[in-house]
This record gives sequence, structure tokens and C-alpha cells, in this order.
Amino acid sequence: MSPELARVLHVSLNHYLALSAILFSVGVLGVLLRKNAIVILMSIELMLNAVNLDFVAFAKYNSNIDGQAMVFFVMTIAAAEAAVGLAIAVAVFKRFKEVNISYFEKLKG
Amino acid sequence: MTVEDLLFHSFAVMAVLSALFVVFNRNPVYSALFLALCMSVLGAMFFTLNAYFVAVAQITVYAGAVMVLFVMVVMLFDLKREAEEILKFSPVTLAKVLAAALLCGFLVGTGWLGVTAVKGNLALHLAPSATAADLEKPIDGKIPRMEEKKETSPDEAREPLAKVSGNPDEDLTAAEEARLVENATVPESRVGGGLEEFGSTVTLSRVLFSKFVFAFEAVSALLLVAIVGAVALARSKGGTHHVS
Amino acid sequence: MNPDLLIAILLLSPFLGFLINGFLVKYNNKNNLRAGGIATAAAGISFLCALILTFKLMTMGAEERAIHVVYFNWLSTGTLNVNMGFNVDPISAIMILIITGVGSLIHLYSVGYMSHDAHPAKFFSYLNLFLFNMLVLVLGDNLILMFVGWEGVGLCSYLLIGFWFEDPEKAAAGMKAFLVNRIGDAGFLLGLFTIFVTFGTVEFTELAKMTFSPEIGAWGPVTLATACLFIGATGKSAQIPLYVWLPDAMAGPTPVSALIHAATMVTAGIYMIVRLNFMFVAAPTTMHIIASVGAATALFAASIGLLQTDIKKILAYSTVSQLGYMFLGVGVGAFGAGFFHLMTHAFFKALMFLGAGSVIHGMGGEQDITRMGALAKKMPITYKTFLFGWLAIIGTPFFSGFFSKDEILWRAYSSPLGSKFLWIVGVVAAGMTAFYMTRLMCLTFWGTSRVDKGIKVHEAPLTMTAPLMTLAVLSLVGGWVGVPHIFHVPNLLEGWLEHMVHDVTAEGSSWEEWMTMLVSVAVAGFAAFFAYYLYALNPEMPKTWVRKAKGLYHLIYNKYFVDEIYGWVFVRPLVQLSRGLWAYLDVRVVDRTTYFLSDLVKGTGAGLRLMVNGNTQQYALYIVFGVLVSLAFIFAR
Repeated sequence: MSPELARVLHVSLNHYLALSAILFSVGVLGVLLRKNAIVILMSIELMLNAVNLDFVAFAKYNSNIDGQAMVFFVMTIAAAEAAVGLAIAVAVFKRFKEVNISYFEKLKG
Repeated sequence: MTVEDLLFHSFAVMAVLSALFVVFNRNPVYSALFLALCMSVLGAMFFTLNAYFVAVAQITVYAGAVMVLFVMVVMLFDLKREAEEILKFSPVTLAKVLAAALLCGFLVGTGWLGVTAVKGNLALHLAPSATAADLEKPIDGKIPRMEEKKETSPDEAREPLAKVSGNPDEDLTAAEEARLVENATVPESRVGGGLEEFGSTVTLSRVLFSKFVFAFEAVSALLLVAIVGAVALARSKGGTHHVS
Repeated sequence: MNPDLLIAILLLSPFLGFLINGFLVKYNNKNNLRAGGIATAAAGISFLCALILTFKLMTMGAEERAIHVVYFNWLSTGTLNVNMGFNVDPISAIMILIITGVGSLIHLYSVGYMSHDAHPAKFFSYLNLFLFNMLVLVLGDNLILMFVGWEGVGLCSYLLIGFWFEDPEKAAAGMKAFLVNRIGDAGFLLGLFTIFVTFGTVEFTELAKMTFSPEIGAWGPVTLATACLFIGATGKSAQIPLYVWLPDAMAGPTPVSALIHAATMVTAGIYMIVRLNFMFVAAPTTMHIIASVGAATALFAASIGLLQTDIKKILAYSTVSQLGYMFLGVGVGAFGAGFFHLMTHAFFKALMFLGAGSVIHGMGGEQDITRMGALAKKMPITYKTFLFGWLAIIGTPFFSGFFSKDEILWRAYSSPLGSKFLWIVGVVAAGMTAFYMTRLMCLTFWGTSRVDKGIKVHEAPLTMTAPLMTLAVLSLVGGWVGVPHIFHVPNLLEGWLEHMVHDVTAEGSSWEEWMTMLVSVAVAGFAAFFAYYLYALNPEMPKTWVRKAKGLYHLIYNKYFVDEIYGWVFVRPLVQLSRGLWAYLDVRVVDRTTYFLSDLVKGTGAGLRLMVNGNTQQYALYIVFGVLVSLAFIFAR
């Protein structure tokens, strides 16, 4: 096995960071591309998860438990946010019978 | 190539694929389910990262509660498969994809190239004293611990990091950096006489209830507010058996 | 009594009157007796203070005859140090007596004259304000305070001339007065600056102590300063070329003409020159200019007055002419004589203006003398008092005008700065004065009545005739303080002014003085008789003469078209220039720039607004862009 391949295959902190980055950008893509409000919320959850992965990886590689404490809080907040966001989506759906955000462009300049 | 590496790579592929499915699938229920899968895979990865409590919390709370909520809401709305294509051929879409790709590239590159906003050894800047060894500092002359432990100096825990040039503002040489990366393994836990593992509930709770106790309480208040808010937002007149 | 207090009361009494009438204008406008009473009382109090101050001065010895009061330090910047100080000395004592005395009489007169007006309170407040400013002018102990009063009387003149501003002509007359005055004021300021720069001080007592080397034939700083000051005097005292406002100023109420344009404001120029006589003496070039301008004005204005038909216009041109006499006097170095004529002129001209006002009032507003005649029987008191004024102005021996005018003519003849030519011009002007004044008397009071049958001519009330009578007495006896030496009677005025005013001594024998006196009396008598012959005895004769010399008549009757010339040479180009500037600079450049800037902002806003189209995903895209940019920065380091 060549050293370069070993470097790629042998898992280090950078791998986790890279994975987290990819997941994050996929989440961004979802926020930008999708028109369904619920799916957008899901993409946001995806982004938060990517960040959680980052925290935990750093916690391990720096031997610092604070990273995991942060994950604890991020998870809590993400859950709360998902709940409230979905409640809003429910309210919107009840009013407009639609969750497609292309119908909600009233905040024009 | 060890087992952990193989495990990591397979988990990584699964996570990325499920994430892509979340975004590019036209049926929202499928998106939700794939997201649940992604979260579970991440939870598994947390296990390999010695974050046991967090892993369990991820699977229970995230994949088990939050995603279920999502699926419930999607089914409540009775959303069908989306009519439009997600990736249309328009300059706007191209710009969006490009932006996201660029973002990804930047972030990955930042990691791989070791680019830092702050020059020098980042670790020493960021975590001079924020280690689990904080718990080793004596309060009122007595060190708070549950049981006896062998006396280890707090510096030893930081050894792999500190065993470089003592100057925090100087950039690391390639050799030092390589060594850092190599030695980035979890040292034996020296907290609490080695009985508590790094990433176990005990360790986490120690720090949670001492250092982050304010945040902890605040977050619980936040949850209360979120509950009230969600109920206020989504309720209908006359309760759930409202006859329209 | 304390001179501080006296001077303060003297100044503040009319100012207080101004404030009271000014604030209570709505209340007092209904009752002209109340408004007029307040104003006249204020003027009367000032007169009392002036009397007391003059008596105080009289008790002092001739050398230190001055009361100098400094209230506080007003301006103090760098080398300029100006106090709020007032100086009562022989010159200003006479001035304040004239101003407050004649002023009070005119205030009393106005109570009757303005009885039918709708805004008496406004009128009286302006009159009091004028009094205050004039007092500041004459009492100020430095040039800057004098200039404050100078400007103030100009302002009041504008306010009072344009008092009936609803009539656009009258308003325009007020504006004309103010603008022409302004041109003179620029000259005054230049003179003031020159004096300050050259001598470092603007205070009169300080300047008097300095010695000025005479600048003969050269244009040194003193000549320059005095010339500039004289330009100011031509504006304020209506000499050539800036006299054009005074005839138009007759658009204001008659008491205004009497007070401002006969007795007080127009004399400010003379006062200023007499005040600074020590400087003017050192600038013979300026003196020559002053004397020439004065003589020319006297002749010029008298010639216009020969043919005017409005009673007030005749008197206005007469004022310009008499002012020319005063300047002729000071121009040949006879400061005392010029000042003396100022005093007597105040009496008889104010008398005649008030008399004219009485005539106008009695005629129900008619001002054209061709429509008057034989008013002597119908308005006896007015007629008799006007008679005194007429006798004084033509120079009837032993009336006040005789002494002062003769003194000036004698000095014009005999002074080293004067010349025979100037004397002859003065004599001719005196003749013309006698002629047109007699013409006025003939057409107004004597002869046959050409009064419109519908007008009920009536005599003026007591408030108007009492001042007339007082002034008539003064016109008779006012000259007796300055009797020339050849009569072997002590010249009180000369002694009074001795230390402050240093005349240029006359070079001539006493028989020459008698000769000039006899010549002027003869010329005046002849001219008066000639006028009487033409207008009272042979009324048809002037008409035939006019028919024969139509062109000349037309020229003189239209005041030599001076106003039209000024309009063509100065006013029209200026108006065209400003119009052009407005069209090209203001509209094209300035407005374009501002519109361009505002359009730029609006355009940018419209462009940027396209970014905010309500599409939330686009906003998210912008966020991502921002993150990318910051990451790029980090990468680039």
C-alpha cells in the first residue's frame, strides 16, 4: 500500500471533518434547491447533524469532553427548533393548504 | 487498514448516500425516512468515536423522536410526490449547486490543508485549560472526586499536544504535525482513577453539571418555551375534534 | 443726576416705546391716541434728558466739555477693541437736542396726522425705533457704533417709507431707499476698515488725539478713508450720485418725510464729517471732492425743483439742494457753518414738511399744487407758519436760514479750499431756491383758487398746529445763536463748538463778507419777486415760456431722466445677469447635479430592490455566498 493511499485510508480527524463538510454542503444544497417547506426543515436537520459529527470528532481527537457537551445542547435545540418549525408549517398549511414556498413570496422589496 | 477504518468508510458512504437521497428524492416521506437512516448511521459513527451517551441520544432523540415527528407531519399534510424536477436546467440552479460545491470544497480543503484563521498551533490556543483535567483542580484544598485515583499530573494528559515547540504562536513543522495526527488516539482515561471512560455518561455529566450547568438550565427553559410555542401555533379552535 | 443714568434713559426711552408699541400692536392699533401718546412721551422723556445733559455740558469748562460714558466692552477680538460707549460733547449735544426736540414735535404732530390710519401702533413703534437708532448714531463714541446707528436708521427709513406697502409703488420706494443707502454703506465700511487698518483704532477720542499729516495732492490712507466715508455720506445724505431715493421717499407719510428726510437721518452724513473734521482737514483732495459734489448737487436739485408740481417733491428736491449747501460748507473747511445750516435747516424744513402735511390733510389727500391756490384764508395757521419757513429758506435777513446760508456762501468765497466759482454756483442755487419756494407759496397759498369744488378744505387740529407754531418760532430765532462777527454780536455757536471743531480759517476782509451777504440777499430777493411776478401776477406767462422751450421743460420736469439712466446702465444689466445666471448656472448646473444625485440613489435603490424579491431560497443563497467570501479570505491568508 502506497503511503498516499494509506494516508487516505487511515482514518484521522481530517476524515471526519471532510465527511462533516460533505454532509453540511448536501444540507445546504437541500435548503437551496427544494421547494417543499418540510424538506427544507429536514435539510436543516441534516446540517445540524453534520455539525454534531464535527463536535464529537474534535472531542475525541482533542480529548476534550466539552465537544460532546456541545452536541448535547445542539441536539436539544435542534429538536426544539424542529418542533416549532413544524408547528408553524402546520399553521401555514391550515391557512393556505400549501407548503410549497414558491407561493409565499410576499416579503418583496 | 484497520477494522475501525473500514467501519468508518462504510458508514461514511452510507451517510453521504442517504443525505443525497434526502435532498434529491421527490417523495417527502422517503426524504424523511432517508434522513432517519442518515441519523442512525451518524449515531453508529458516534459509537466509534467513543461518544457513547451522545450516540444513544442521537438515535433515541433524533432518529427516534424528531424524525418520527417529521414523518407524522408529512403524512398529516398528505403530501404527494412532487411534480417538479428538483434539478432543473437554469442558471439559478447552477449557481446554487456551484455555491454548495464550492462551500464543500472550502470546508474540506480547510481541514486537509490545515488552514487556520489563527496562525500557530490551534490546539494550544483553543484548549489551554479546557480539558477534563479541569476536574483535577482542587477546590478548598480538596480535589473533588468519587474515589481515589492515581496521582497523575494534568500535563501528562496533554502530552501529545504539548510535546511540540513550547511557543503557541509558532506554526508546527510537518514532522510535528504528522506526529500529532498519528498520536491522536484516545489516551487511557485518567479521570476518576481510570474507572470512567472518556465519553461515558459519567464524564459527560460531570462536565455538564459543573461547567455547563447554566446552559443546561437555559436549554430546559428553552424546551418549555418551545413546547408552549408549538402548541400555541398549531392548535385549532375547539381542539382536535373540531368539526369544520 | 448721574450721566450714566441720563444717557441710558435717553437711549432706552424711545427703544422702550418701540417695544411697547411693537408688542401691543394689535391692542394699540385701535387707539391712535394711546399709541401716539406712548411714543410722544418716550420722545419727550428723551428730550428732557437731552436738555439736562446739555445744561450739564454748559456748566463745564470749554476744554473738558465732554461726558464720556462706557457701559461695557462690546467687541474684543485681536487688535479690535470696541466699547459700548457714548459721548456727549458739544457736537452731539446739539444733535440730540435737534433729534429729540424736533422729533418730539413730529411725534405729537403724527398723533393728529395718523388719526385716520389703520395701523398707528406700528407707525409709532417704527418712529421710536428710528429715534433710538439716530441717537445711537450721534452718541456712539466709535465708528462701529455709529455704523450700527447708520444701518438702523436706514432700516427704519425703509420701514417708514414703505409704510403703506400695499401700494406696490410705495413699497418699491422703500426698497429703493434701502438699496441706494446700502451702496453708500459699502463706502462707509471701506472707510471704516481703512481707518482701522491704518490707525488701529476706531474711537473718536483716540483718533482726535492723533496728528494727521496733510496729504496734499496725494492719495494717502487718510484721503482714501475719508473719500470712502464720503461715499457713505452721499448715500445717506442724498448727494450726487446717490440722491435718487429721496424724492421717491415722499411716498411715505409726511411726518416721516419731516423727521427723517429733513431734520435727522439725512444729516447723518454731515454729522459724520463734522465729527471727523480733524481727519478731513488732512485730506484736501477729499475736501475738494466734497465741496464740488455739494455745490453741484445744490444747483442740480434746485433746478429740478423749479418745475415740480407735487408739493412734497418740491420740498424733497429742496432738501437735497440744502444738503448740498451743507456739504459745500464742510467741503471748504467751514465745519461749523455746515453744522449751523444743519440746525437751521432742521427747523425750517421740518416746519415746511409738516405744513405741507397739514395742507395735504386739509385738502383731503391732494398733493398737486396746480390744484391748490388761495389756501391762505382757508388754513390760516398753516399759512402763517409756512410763511416763516419760506422766509427762512430764502434767506430773509434775521431769519435763521439767512445766517447759516450766508456763512456758508461767505466761506465758499473766502476759504483757501473754496473758490469764487463755488461761490457763484452757491449764489445761483440760492436764487433758484428762492424762486421755487416762492412759486410754491404762490401756487399753494396765494393767487386764485384752483381747488376742486368737492373738497372741503379745513384747518388742521391742535396736535398738528402746535408743533407748526413751535417750529415757526425756532425758524425765526434759531439762527441767532450763530450770528457772524461782523454784526458785533457774540457767535454763541462758534464758542460752543470751538474745541471740537477746527474750521479752516477764512481769508478775507470784513467788507468782502458784507459784499457776499448783500449779493446773496439781493439775488434771493430778486428771484422771489420774479417768481411772485410770474405765478401770482401773471399766471399765463409761465405757460407760454413752457410752450416755447418744450424740450428743456421736458428734460427738467423728468428730473433729467436720471432714474431712467440708472435703470438702463445699472439695474437692467444686473437683472439680466442674474436671470442668465439663474437659467444657466442654477437650472442647468446646480439643479442637474442635485437631480442626478437623487436619481442615482433612486436607481441604485431600484436595482438593489430586485435582490429582495421574496424568494427565501435566494436569500439563503446570498448567505452561502457570504460564507464563501469569508472562507476565501481565510484561504487567501
